[in-house]
Amino acid sequence: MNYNRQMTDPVHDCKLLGVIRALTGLKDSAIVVHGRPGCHSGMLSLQALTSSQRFVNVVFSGLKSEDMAFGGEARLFRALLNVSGVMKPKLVAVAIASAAGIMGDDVAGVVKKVLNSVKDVSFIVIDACGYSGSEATGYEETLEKLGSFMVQTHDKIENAVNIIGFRADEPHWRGDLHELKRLLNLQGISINTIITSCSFDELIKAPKASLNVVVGGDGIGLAEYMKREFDVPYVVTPYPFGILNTVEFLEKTCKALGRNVNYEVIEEEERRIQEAISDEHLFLEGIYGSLKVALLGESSRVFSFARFLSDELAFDVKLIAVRCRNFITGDEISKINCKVLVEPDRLDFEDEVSRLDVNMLFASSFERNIAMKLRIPLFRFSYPVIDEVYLTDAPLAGFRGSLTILEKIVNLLMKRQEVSELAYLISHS
Amino acid sequence: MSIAPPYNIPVMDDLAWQVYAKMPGHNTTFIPGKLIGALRVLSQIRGAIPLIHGPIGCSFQRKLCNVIPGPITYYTPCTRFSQFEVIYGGENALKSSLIEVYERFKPDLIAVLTTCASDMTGDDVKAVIDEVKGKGLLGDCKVIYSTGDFAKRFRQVGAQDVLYAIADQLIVPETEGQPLEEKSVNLMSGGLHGSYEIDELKAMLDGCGVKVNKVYFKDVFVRDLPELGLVELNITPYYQLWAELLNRKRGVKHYCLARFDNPDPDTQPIGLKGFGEAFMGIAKVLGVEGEAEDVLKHRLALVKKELDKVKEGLKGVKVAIEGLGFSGATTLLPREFEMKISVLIFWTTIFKTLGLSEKALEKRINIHVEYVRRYGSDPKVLIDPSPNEALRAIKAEGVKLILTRRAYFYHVHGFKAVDLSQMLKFGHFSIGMRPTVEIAKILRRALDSKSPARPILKGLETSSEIPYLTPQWAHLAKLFSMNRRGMLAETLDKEMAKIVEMEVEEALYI
Repeated sequence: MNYNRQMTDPVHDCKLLGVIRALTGLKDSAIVVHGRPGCHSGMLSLQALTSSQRFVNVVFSGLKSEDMAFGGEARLFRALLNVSGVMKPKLVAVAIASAAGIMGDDVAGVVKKVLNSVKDVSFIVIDACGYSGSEATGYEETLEKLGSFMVQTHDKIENAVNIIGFRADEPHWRGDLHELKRLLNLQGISINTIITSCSFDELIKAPKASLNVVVGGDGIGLAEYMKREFDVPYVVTPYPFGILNTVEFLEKTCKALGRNVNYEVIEEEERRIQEAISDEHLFLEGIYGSLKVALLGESSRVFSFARFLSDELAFDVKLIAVRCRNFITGDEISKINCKVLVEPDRLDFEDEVSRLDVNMLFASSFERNIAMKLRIPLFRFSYPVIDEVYLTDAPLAGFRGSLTILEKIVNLLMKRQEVSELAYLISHS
Repeated sequence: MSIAPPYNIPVMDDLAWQVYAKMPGHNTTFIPGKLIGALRVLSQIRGAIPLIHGPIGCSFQRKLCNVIPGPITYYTPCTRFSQFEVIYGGENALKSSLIEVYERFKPDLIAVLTTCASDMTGDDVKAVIDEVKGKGLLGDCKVIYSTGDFAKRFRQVGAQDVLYAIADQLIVPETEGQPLEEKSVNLMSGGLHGSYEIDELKAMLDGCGVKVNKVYFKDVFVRDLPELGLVELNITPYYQLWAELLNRKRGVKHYCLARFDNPDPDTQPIGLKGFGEAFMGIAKVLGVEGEAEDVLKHRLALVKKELDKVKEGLKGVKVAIEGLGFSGATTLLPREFEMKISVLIFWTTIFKTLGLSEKALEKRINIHVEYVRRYGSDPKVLIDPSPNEALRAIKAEGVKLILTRRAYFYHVHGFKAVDLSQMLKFGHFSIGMRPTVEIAKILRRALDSKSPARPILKGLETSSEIPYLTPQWAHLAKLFSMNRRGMLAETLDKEMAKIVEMEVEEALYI
């Protein structure tokens, strides 16, 4: 190797996407990207392809190349007024992208002026310059900024929790949302606010909860802030993929609330899963312990998904690649007994996957090529998935999610026959 | 491990495309930025790899081609611009990255694409390339750079710019002093919006004794690029600067199929008439008019035979067309299929927010109405009607088929309708006669089939101003246009608008 490592083909995005993802799901908000059209269009498109198309809320400030010389403050000023007037949001987040960041526009000053003319709209300004941080940083910083709108309350709701670290743009997000609510309700726990899949009013009232449940470790910064400012304790749980993680999720939550776990409910759930598994047991017996796999996903999800695959399906997990790290990534790595890459270069990830001779890849749409090259199935469980749609309430998370995952794995393997036949036809035609 | 080409796969599946066809993106709620166009061009040249000189976001986000979201640009290496590069410049990062890209991909061509960040730091990209090349660190690999400045704002900027860079930095130097091959042409496929009927044009040119050297960029290699500068004529689907450059510097003639300088739908190179004129235009440039007339006559006879069969049942049928006027496929209805345009509905909000004045809008509408009258229709013209007004007019005029961007809406009311997205691939660049037959078939199918009993999209809420969008997307579309133009929304009262303008003046003054 006669070069310094500078170039990268990243598996994760810059700060801007972290900002957008933290605000995706905040229903009465608008995000104004103060940057060039490329940044805006990339964000809008990713949001439209991965989350609810009803609530797409990424707006362009209109920054043009000629503004690079004279500044884009006047343009932003008009844009903020327009957004407030047309969309009537309760919160407008101004995300400063690279061009505006280098120009040094006084965005906070512009917002201050806008506030003279606009009522009933709150604003936040976030440095989202691509050069100033990673997707994970953008996500954490934005959540913390959202915390500043929360209001102290003395009427806490007993046994009500907030979920922190939920993203309304992950594959099967809608199903996961329902499943998380259902799981907690079955334990007699209600959900106060889901961050982020809520209205601005619900966000403001988040301190009413008795506990913050940080799923997978994303959003610990906000949880710390809420503990400090509003005396809301928090617990970090695994993202509930599979039965073990789901039980741990429930046990940790109940324990933190000082409640007993209702194991009867859990046993009933497990019985139902067992029934479904028995209906297709020959297929599941066939795949049990049969695959060598690699995964690429957010730290908050990839470790618990891997745990399900190894501890419940007896798959040989060869590689875990972390798309975006969080505050507990180090702890997670210490518990894992396989190769781990953290925010790797795409080429390094592909090298490693190729070398390990795996049979199935669990990643995002952007890894479609490596799965095709290696002729292995791709299970899309990680952001971004732009070539699958999830209209039903089938979750990946929770007890019910275990069945969705099993179903998808079996179907992907069955589909292989067709893929192989197609390859044969092409090579013999 | 080095990665073998093709690095990025230049395929858009027609059926998969349909899933994304309704994304109200390009020029409605966003413009994609220059990198998307550049990456689409480079994806179609085997052995070429981009090197994005910017932060990781410029790499990650650009994997998604948001003009047509199906294809993914899997490899978009970047120079990982950080705050360090913003302050001290990114030339060293570029040097290292060039060598690394070469070592890891072993490409035949590296295209350095600058971004906002590196444009603003003012890195001397050319000097870096010359230095690294000069040291022999990149073997035989060719390197070009594209900044967006070459395109001089000609759309699509990214595609135009990288093509210009290829012509200027690669083709011109490599073909210097070499003769042009007479009666030889290169064809360019349709770029981002789909491809025109290359095979038909190719066969017809062949019939005139003209050699079609290559179709760009359809499975071409880096080694094929110089041939763009070695033929008598390059044929492009729309105005392309690189072809003009080769004309100036190499004397290669340039024929541009679609020109957007004339809004009259009759000037589009589509349908039997439009194609015939374009084909004869090419023949004139090559001096083969005689041969071309015979080929065209023969081809016309063949296609007309097939078309006449499909056309039967279209002639005289009353139709309504709603949207933004005639473009691409809809142009054919009165002219080629002799259908009766009974109702013309114009939605003008988008045009207005894009800055078209009332006068310009009126002129545009008149051109389209005049076009229809030229072919024997006298339509009822509705401008931004309410849903009931549109339905009443359609019923009153006895319309049998509606061409619209919201077919489900008319299905709900029991009318037969075709969604225009089905015809999008037969756009400005669908030169040739085959598409004419295909479009006729789509219309026949719609007329021959019954209207759906209970359209699943029945409950979809639509915007009153832009009826083919939901209210949320209509907001995004309006905001996009207004913010780009620096306009203020009409939601602000006049007094407020005055204050705002004063504030803006003040901000600009500061």
